[in-house]
Amino acid sequence: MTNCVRLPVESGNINDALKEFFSSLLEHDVVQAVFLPMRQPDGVMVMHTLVRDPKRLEGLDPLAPVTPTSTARLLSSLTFKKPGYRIAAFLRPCDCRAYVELVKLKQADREQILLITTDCEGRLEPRDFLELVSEAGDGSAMVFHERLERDDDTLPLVRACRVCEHPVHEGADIGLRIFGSDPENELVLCAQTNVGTEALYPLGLEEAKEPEGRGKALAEIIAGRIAERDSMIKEYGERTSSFAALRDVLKTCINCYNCRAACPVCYCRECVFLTDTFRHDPEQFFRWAGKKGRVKLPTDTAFFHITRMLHISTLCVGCGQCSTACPMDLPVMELFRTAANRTQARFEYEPGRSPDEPLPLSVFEDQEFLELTAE
Amino acid sequence: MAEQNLDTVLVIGAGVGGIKAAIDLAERGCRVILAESSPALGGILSQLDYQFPNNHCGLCRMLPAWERDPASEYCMRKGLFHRNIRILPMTELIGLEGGAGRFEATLRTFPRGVAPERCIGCGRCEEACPVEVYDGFNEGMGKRKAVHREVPHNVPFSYVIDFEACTKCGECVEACPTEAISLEEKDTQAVYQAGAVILAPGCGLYDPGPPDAYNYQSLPDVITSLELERILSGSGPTSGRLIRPSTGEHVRSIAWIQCVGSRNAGRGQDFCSSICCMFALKEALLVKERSPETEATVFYMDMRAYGKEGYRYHLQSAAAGTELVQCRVHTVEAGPDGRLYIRHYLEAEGEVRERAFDLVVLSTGQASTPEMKRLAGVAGVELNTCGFAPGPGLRTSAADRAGVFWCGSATGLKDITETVLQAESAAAEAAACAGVTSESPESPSPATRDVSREIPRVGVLLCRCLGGQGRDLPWEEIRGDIAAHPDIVDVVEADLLCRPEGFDEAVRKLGGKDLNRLVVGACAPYVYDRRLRKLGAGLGLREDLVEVVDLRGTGLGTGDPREKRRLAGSVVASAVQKQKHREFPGTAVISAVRKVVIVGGGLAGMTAALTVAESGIQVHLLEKEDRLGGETRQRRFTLDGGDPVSFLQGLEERVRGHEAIEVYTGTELIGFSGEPGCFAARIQTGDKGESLACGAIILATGCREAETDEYGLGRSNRIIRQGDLEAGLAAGRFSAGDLGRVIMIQCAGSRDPDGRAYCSRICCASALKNAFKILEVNPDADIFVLYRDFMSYGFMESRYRELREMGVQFITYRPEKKPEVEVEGDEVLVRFQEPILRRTVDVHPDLLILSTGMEPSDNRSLARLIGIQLNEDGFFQEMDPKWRPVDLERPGVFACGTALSPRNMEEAVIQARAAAMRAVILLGRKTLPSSRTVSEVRQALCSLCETCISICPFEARFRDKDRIHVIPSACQGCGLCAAACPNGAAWLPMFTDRQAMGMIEGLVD
Repeated sequence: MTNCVRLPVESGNINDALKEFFSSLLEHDVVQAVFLPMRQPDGVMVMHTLVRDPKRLEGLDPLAPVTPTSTARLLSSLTFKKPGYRIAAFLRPCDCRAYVELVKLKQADREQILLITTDCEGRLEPRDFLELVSEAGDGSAMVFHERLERDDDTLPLVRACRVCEHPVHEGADIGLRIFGSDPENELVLCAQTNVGTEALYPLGLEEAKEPEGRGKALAEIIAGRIAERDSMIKEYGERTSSFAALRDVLKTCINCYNCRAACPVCYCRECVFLTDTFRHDPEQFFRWAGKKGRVKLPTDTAFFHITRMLHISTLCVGCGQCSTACPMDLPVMELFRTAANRTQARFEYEPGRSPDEPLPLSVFEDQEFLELTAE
Repeated sequence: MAEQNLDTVLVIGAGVGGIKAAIDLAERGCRVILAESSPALGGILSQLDYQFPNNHCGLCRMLPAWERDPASEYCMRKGLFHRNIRILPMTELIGLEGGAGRFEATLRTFPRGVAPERCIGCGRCEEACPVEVYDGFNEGMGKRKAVHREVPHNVPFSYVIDFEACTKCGECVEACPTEAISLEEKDTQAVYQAGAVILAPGCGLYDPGPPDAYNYQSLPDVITSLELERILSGSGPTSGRLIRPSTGEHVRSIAWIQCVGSRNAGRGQDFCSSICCMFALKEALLVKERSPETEATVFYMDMRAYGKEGYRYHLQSAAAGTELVQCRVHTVEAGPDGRLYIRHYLEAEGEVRERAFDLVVLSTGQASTPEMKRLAGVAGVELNTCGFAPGPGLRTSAADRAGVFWCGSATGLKDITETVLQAESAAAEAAACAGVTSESPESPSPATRDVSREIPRVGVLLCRCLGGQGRDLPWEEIRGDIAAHPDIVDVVEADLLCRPEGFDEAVRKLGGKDLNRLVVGACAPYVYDRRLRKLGAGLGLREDLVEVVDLRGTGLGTGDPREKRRLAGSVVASAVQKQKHREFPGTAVISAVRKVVIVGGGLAGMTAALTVAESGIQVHLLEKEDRLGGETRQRRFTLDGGDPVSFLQGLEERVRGHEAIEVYTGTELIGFSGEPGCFAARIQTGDKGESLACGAIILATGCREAETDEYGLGRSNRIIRQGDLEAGLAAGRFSAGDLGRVIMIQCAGSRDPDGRAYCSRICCASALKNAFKILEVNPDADIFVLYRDFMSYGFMESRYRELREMGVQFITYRPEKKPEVEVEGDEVLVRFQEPILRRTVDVHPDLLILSTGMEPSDNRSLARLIGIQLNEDGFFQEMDPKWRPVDLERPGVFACGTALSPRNMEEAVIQARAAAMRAVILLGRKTLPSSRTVSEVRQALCSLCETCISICPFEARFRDKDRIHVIPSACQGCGLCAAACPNGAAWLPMFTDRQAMGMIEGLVD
C-alpha cells in the first residue's frame, strides 16, 4: 500500500494546489480547523493563521521562506488545554520537534493535531524575506526554491538552517516532499503515521510514489549541513573555552530576554530572571562595585545565558529563533547548539525524536554519572 | 533512685534491631532508654558499607520520615538523635525486678574516660597515647591507640579509652585542651523504671579458630566474611583495595566456603545461619564490580537465597560471573606456590577435586555469646539448646517473662528486613505492655516571637576556642570585617560555648540587642548544632533562626593569618546571607482521622487489626469472602508442633469481640482517595456502597497455593500438592497403605525465570512437616524429597537433619535436568537421577506431592485503585524492602502478610504487627505536623509541566485540574522538585535561590 498522494500543480502555482488540499481537509471534516502560514492583508508578511472556513484560505503560503516567530509555541497556545477541535497544523521540522518537546512538557496536545510538515530548505530572516517579496511578490516560495536549486550563494539563508541536520521530521503525520521532487508540476504528500494515512484516505486524491531522487538528495543535504554544524561547534567551542571568553562573546547583551521569549522550548510562564529572585537590593550593586572597584550594568548576563542552557539545552531543536529575535546580533543559536551538542549526547537524548522518549530530567537513573558520583 | 515513668521502654542493644525498635517507640510517643554495651551505636552494620539489593548503605531510610528536622537526623552512621530517646552507651543491664508494666532495671555504665560533653574530637590525646592495640572495628586488621574513636565515622566523634589496654600513663590527660579526660572514673549504677523491656543484644559470629580444617589461624589469606567486608570498605584497613593480606598483591581469584560453624550438629551448631548465602552472593557481586577479572567462586551445600527477591539476587550474582559450586568442602591448605588449595567433594560427580585460590573467605555463621547468656539470666528468660533466644512463636514475641521481648539476631542471625520487622513487632507489643495508648506527648515548645515581618537584624556570636585551634586567630580584625556587613547588628565573642559557663556568658552578652537572627561561628556543628540553637530560646527566637557554622572545619587551623581571617569572614557572611534571605512558610497541619482500614481478614489482617485496636485506634476490617481466616484456614499443623486451627479460632474471637474493630465480610474496596491521615475509602458489600474515613490503610490480601502445569498435576489423583496432602493427613484420609512410598518434588513451578521467579520460602518447611506426619501414619514409609536447594533456614535445620537421620531420602536435582513424571493408568512413574548410584532410577510412588509454593492474590485492580506498584511477581512493592519493609509507595499505605512477600505464619504475624505499628505511629498524633522543609508551589509561576511530579521520589506531588499540590506529610524536603523546576515555581522555603546565591556570594567574597 502506498501512502503518498499527488497534488497537480498548474502553471507553477503551488499555493493553489495546497489551498485545494487544505480546503478539502476541512470540507471532508477530517479536521475542523487548519493552522498554517498565510500572507496577511497587507500582502507582505506571512504569519500563521487559524482558519475554520474553507472559503477563507486565500493568501495561504505554507512554503514562504520565513517563520517570524516560533510556530510550535503558537500551536501550543491553541492546545495547552485540549481544544475540542481537530486541527491540521503546518509546521517546519524544527517546529515539529519543538512541539513534541512541548507535548512532553504538558504544554501542548498531540492527539487532536494532524501534524503536517515539509522537507525544509530553510528560512530567511524577516527583513531578508521582505526584500525577496519586493522582488518576487506572491511567488517568493518558488523563487527561493529555484535559487537554492541553482546553489545561489547570495541567498541569505539563516545560519540555524545552514547547520540544521534535521531538514525533515518523520514523526509528523504527513510530510510534503520537496527534496528530489518536481514542485513546479506536482506536489507529493506522504502519510508518515497511521493518523496521516487515515486523514488522506477520504480526500480521494491520486496515489503517488515517493519521489525517486529524494533519498539521495536528502542524504547530500544532511551531510553538508552536518559538516557546517561541526565546524560551527568547533568554532564556538574555541570561542567559549573559558568564562572570560564566553563573557566576551556576550559583552553586548542588553538583558532584553528576547531570546528566551522567542525560544519555543523556554516554556516558563515567567522567567526566573524576571522574578524577585533577581531583583537585587540596590545595596547589592554597591557591594559588587565595592568589591572590584566597578560593576557593569545590567548584571547577571552570563548567568542568564548559562541558566537558560542549563534549563533547556537538552531540549534545544536548533530553530534559531533566539538569534532572529536578538536586537544585538549575538550568536545565541551558535552558543546554544554548541552547548546542546554535548548535553544532548550526554543523555543520549534527541529532542523531538519521539513523544515517548522521556525528558532527561524526569528520569531517575540509579547508576548514572558514576565518574562523578562513585567513590 | 528510680528515674523516668512507666511509659518508658528499656531497649538493650543498639544494633539495627534495637535502634529500629527505639525509633518506632519514640515516634509512637514512648520514652525510650537505649542502652548499648559498646561506646558506639549501629552494631555489626556500622562495619558493613554495602547491602543487598542495590549494594548501597541506606541506613538512613529507617529514620522517621515525619518531623525529620527537629530530630536533625540525616545519617545514621553518624549517630542517632531523637528527643524521646535517651542513649546510654557503654551500659549493660545487670538486674531486672518487677514485671510487665512495672519493671525496675539496674543499669551499669562503664567509664568512657573522656567526657563526651567536653571532648571536641581534636585528636591530641590519640597522638599522645603510647599504647597500640589491634583494631576491633576492622576485625583486628590494623591497629589503634588505647584512646580511640570506636567507629571512625560516628558523630559526635568523641573519644573513648579502652581501659583494658590503657596503662594510665597520663599522657592524654596532659594533651587534652578541654580537660575532658579522667583516668580515675569508676563504674556507675542507676535504677530505671520501665513498662517493658526489649532485648536486642545481637548475636556473635562463629570463631573459625582451631581446631579447624581451613587453617584460619595459620593462613593469613584465609579470612572471614566480615573481614572481607572491611577489606572492601573505603574506611577499612586497605582503603577498599582487594589485596591478599599475606603479600599485598591484587586478588585474582577468591573463594567463599559456606556454612562455616553452621549446619554442624556434631559441634552443637544444629542450625542454619540464614543470611550467609545472601551475604556471600553480595560479596561476590561487590568483588566482581570492583575487579571484573577476579574469579569468584562460592562453595556451598544449599544456596539458601530464599524468599521474595532472594532467587533473583542469586541469578544476578551468577550472571555477574560468580561461579557456584554445590559440594562439601574438606580442607584448605597452602600450596608450595603460596596459593590456597580447597579440597572438596562433588556429590553429583562423586569425586574429590582440588582448586587453588588467592584468597579464601569463610562464611562464618551465628554463635551464641556469653553476653546473650548473661542477659537471659538477668532477664530471667531461657535460651534454646543452641544458646539463642526463643523465636516469637505463634502466640506472641514475648519470651518466657511477660513484658520482656526479644528481637534481632539474638533469636538467630537475621537479615535487615527480618530484623526491622521483628523490631517493629516487638515495639508494638512493648508499647501495648507499657500502656501507651494516648496520643504522643508533644514537648512544649518555648515561647518564641514572630519575626517574619521584621527587617533582618542579625547578631553574630564567635567562639574563640575552636577546639584549641582558635587561640592565635586575629579575632580583632575578623570581628571588624564581619561587623562591616550592613545587616549585622553586633558581633559578640565568647569562650568555650560548648561548656555551660561559656553558653551562659553568650546569652548574657546577646540579650537586649533586639536581634531576630543569630549566626554562631563555632566548631563541630554536628556535635553542638542542636545545643547552640537553644541559644535562640534565650532571645525569644525559634531554633531555625539560629545558624551554626563550622569555623574550625573550614581549615582555619592551617594557613597564614590573612587567609584565616578571610575564611572566617566569608563563612560567616555566607550564613548571614542565608538567614537574611530566608522565608517564613506557614506550617501545614493535617488533622489525623484516627481510624485504619485493613483489607483482608486472614491471619495477617486480623493480627494487624488487633494490634491497631489495642492501641486505641478504630479499625474497619474488610474481608472479601463470607468468613474470616483466609488461606490460613487450610493450615492444620505446623513444623514446630503448633496448632494453627485453634490459634486462628482464638484470633477470630478476639477480633470479633474487640469493640474498636468493625468487621465487614463479603466486602471489597472500590475507591480510595485523599492523603495520609485523611483518606476516604469507598467499600461495597453486595449492592450496598459505603464511604469510610480513615487515616491509614493496611493491605493484607494474602495468597493462595499455586497451580502448576508441571509434573502431571491434575492428570492423576495420585499427584497432589502439599496443601492437599496436609488437608488429607489432617482429615485422616490416608491410611498407612496409601503412604508406602511417597515422592515430593520441591520448586514445582517455582524459582523459574519463566514461571514464578521467586522462592516461596515455606515449601521446604511444608515438605518437612508433612514428612513427619506421614511417618506418624506409616513409620515404614519410603519418602523421597527431590529438591534443588533445601531452604530449611534458621532452627528449622535441626528438623531437616532429624528427617535425614530417620531415613527420608533428600536428593538434589538441577533445573536443567528436572525429574520426569509419567502417568500410566492408575500408576505414576517418576524418573530421576540418583547421585550415589549415579544413574537414573524409576520409582512408582503411591503419592507424588508437588511443592508448588504460593502466589499472591490478584492485586492488580487494588494496586491501580490505590496507586501503588506490584513487583513483577504480583506482590506489593515495598517503599524500601530493607528499611521500610511494610511501607508502600503511597504514604499512609502499608501492607503485610503473604500479599507482600512469601512467608510462614509466624513471620506473617510479625509482619502484621509491624504494619500495624507503622499505621499507629502515623495516627498516634492528633495532627500530622510536617517538617519545616516542605516544598511549595508558586501557582502564578507554574507552567504545569509536571516535571516536579515525575521527579519526586516520595509521591508527594500531584496535579488536580490546573494546580500542582504538595502532600506536606509525604514531602521530605529533598529539593529535587525545586532543582528540576526552571523558574522556581516549585520551591523550598528554607532553601531559596536567593539564599543560595547570597551564600555563594558570601563565600567568594
